[in-house]
Amino acid sequence: MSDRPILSVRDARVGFNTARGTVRAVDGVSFDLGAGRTLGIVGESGSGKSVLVRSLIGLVSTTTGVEVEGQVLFEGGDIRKLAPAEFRGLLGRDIGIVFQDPMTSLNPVMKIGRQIGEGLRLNRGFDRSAADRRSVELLAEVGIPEPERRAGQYPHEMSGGMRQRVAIAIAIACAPKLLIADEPTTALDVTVQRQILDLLQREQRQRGMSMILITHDLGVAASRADDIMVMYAGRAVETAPTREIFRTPRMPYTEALLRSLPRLSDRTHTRLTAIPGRPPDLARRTGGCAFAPRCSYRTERCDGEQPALIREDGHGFACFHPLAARMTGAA
Amino acid sequence: MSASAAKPVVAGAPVAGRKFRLRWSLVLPLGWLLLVVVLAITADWIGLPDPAAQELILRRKPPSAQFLLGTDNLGRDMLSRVIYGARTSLIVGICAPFLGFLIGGAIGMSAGYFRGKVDLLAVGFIDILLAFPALVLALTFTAYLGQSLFNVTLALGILSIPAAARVSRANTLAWANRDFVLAARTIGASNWRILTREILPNLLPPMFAFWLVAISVIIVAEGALSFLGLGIPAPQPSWGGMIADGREALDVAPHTALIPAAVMFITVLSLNFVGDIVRNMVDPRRSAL
Repeated sequence: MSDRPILSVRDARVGFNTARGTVRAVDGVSFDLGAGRTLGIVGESGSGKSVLVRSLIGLVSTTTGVEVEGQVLFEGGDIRKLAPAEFRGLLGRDIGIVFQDPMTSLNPVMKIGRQIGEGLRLNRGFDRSAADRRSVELLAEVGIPEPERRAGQYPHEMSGGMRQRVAIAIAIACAPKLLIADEPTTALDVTVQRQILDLLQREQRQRGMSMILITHDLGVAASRADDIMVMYAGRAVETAPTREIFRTPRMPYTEALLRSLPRLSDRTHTRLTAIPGRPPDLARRTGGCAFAPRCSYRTERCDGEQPALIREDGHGFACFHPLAARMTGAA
Repeated sequence: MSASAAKPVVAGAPVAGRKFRLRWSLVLPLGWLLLVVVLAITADWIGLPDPAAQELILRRKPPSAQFLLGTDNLGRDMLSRVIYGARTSLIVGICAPFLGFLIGGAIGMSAGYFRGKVDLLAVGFIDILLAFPALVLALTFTAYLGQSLFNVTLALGILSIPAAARVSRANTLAWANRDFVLAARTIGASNWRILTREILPNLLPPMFAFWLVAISVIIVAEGALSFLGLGIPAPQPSWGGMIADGREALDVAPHTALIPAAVMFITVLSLNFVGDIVRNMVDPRRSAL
């Protein structure tokens, strides 16, 4: 990546102060996102992927008892140092977000045309009629039939897939440079998932946007992301170009995740390998690798010392016992 | 009908609304309320005798052709007084909770949305307000500010602040964590815009249902104040005041107390019926919304 990254995150940390102590939901994550590229953030529930991304754009700092640290550079500028009004402007114009559940991400009492046009009127100086016209165009662009009629409807008159299309239309309305998709297909039927992912990918390519795709589905990330960052217990444990991570995972956790997926090339009735145990309680973290208790390569060192993310040829991994760089006999 | 099977299904056509049955429990209360409201508004133009005109020879007359609801202790026409009294009761009953809901709603929304210190202050204020016995507080207000329609409305309005604040705070808490509020923030909406455009419209249905119930509570409260002699001042008729006047002659002319009492009772009952139905309609657990 020679060109300057559009988004650059350094040592992001998010802690929630709870009665049981501070929960380190995100614990020192750094990454870069190049212009026009897609980063897939993969991890199981509670690994901190959503919190990480939401904290970057100031969506978790409003509740009490939250500590957010770290540096977030958007096109070179530190967005955490902006005045509230400037920050809102940046968020409105340059960053779009698609949330997981289209049932809750749309306002039930506002017509969808108005919801799409809201950002245009706030950030791009559209008047009401221009915003309405643009909303209809956007609805057509995201593949909603009869956009004029649909613009006058309320969210409850649409199916889940259509609502997610509307949510995408809202996110791309102001022509953002970065699109964040937070598990955009998790709440949808399997048949609709693919359509939504196709739509996201098409929009991203046509508009040259960068995209962060959060998912717990490795299959989704594999086909849509240029780079993948695997998160576990609030830390980035492996980061590499997509091809590389699927061919030669270095971190045992990633390898275990891949083994737990069914493959078409497997013989029928092959048993999937589940990862034993469960993710650690983030309020009771001690030193050492968070994955150690579930890891088959674990040694004493893993319990006492936290492995740092080290890089080899653009492939980063946090492990004392990385798997071989090239799997032998994988021809 | 067999023909219905052949009816073409138009894709995306508005779905026929959930079957709305005409129930007597809705029609009767609504009809009564409509009657009361219309009479109260048109009282000046429907040829009623002056509600303050006394005819001492004809005092405490039972209902007759001349006086449809009889006359009271001072020979005033009961029908006219009940209708003009409805005007008083409705003005207080509608305006007082409206005032309380404006103030209480704003307090509750800020508390539920901003949380933290704002919440602490607001909840503290509301708890203090609740700590006073309601009637005593209202009596104190009207005793010190003086008896007038405005002061009674103000006093009862302040009394309805805590309930309104609690309802709006609870609903705001529920809505403020929805993703569409986050989404609004991501398109650069300010707090003010989020509160007024995203959250407020969602609060209106439950607040409206609660307001209907509050009206009936306030009508009774106004009656209680008037009954105790600290409500609307004398010549202006109000239901509570009429009951208080009629109480003196309960043994010789029971209608002077029972008629206004019955009217108030039916009105409050109707409001509660309608309020219940509206609440069920907006209750997300019951409706398909």
